[in-house]
Amino acid sequence: MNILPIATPALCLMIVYATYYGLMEASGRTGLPPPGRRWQVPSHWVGNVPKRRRILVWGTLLGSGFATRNPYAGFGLLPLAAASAGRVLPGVLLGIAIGACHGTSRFLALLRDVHSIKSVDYLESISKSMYWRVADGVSLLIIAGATVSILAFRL
Amino acid sequence: MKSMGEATRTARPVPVAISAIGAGLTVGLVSRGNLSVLTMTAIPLAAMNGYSKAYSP
Repeated sequence: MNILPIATPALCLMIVYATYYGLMEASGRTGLPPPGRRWQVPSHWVGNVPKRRRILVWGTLLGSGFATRNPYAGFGLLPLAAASAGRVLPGVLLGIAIGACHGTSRFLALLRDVHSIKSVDYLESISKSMYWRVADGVSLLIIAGATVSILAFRL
Repeated sequence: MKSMGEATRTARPVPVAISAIGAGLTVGLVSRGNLSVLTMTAIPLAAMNGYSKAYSP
């Protein structure tokens, strides 16, 4: 992405995206759904396919969240953040850092849950997902403010 | 009895939103528009997003 001069448009898009979804999520309102698919995993992508292809699909598209349902809008901002780096090497390094953090934290969360699955956890997960949604919204608003400052210095 | 929509609404969304945007603006201004600010904010967002997905029903 950083081969093309898209840093400034990416920053503008980040401001719009982060402000809109940040306000929606932080206030608990519903609006446009975050970018993503409707379903968690397209079954025909991973069912009855060779093991290596399944691993490749999980690693590049499904596990990362590019082709699955995204409950929080924060994920959609991450490719824009990588695109705003301006140069190839920083963009690649930022992309690697984002992917590593996203994957590691997801792994840790799944590891935590695998030992303590209970029948009432569904209601608890709904309750906690609401709070995570607000936290995601506040984070997006902080990023929106920071991006406005950065864009102002660039112009 | 509150509806689900009412129950999920943040108690005071306007001050929260203004504070969050203000914090971001301040960080950006203090850093003089340094792009590394985005790195410092995007990485925690990625970590939080990955961890919180486990709670999505």
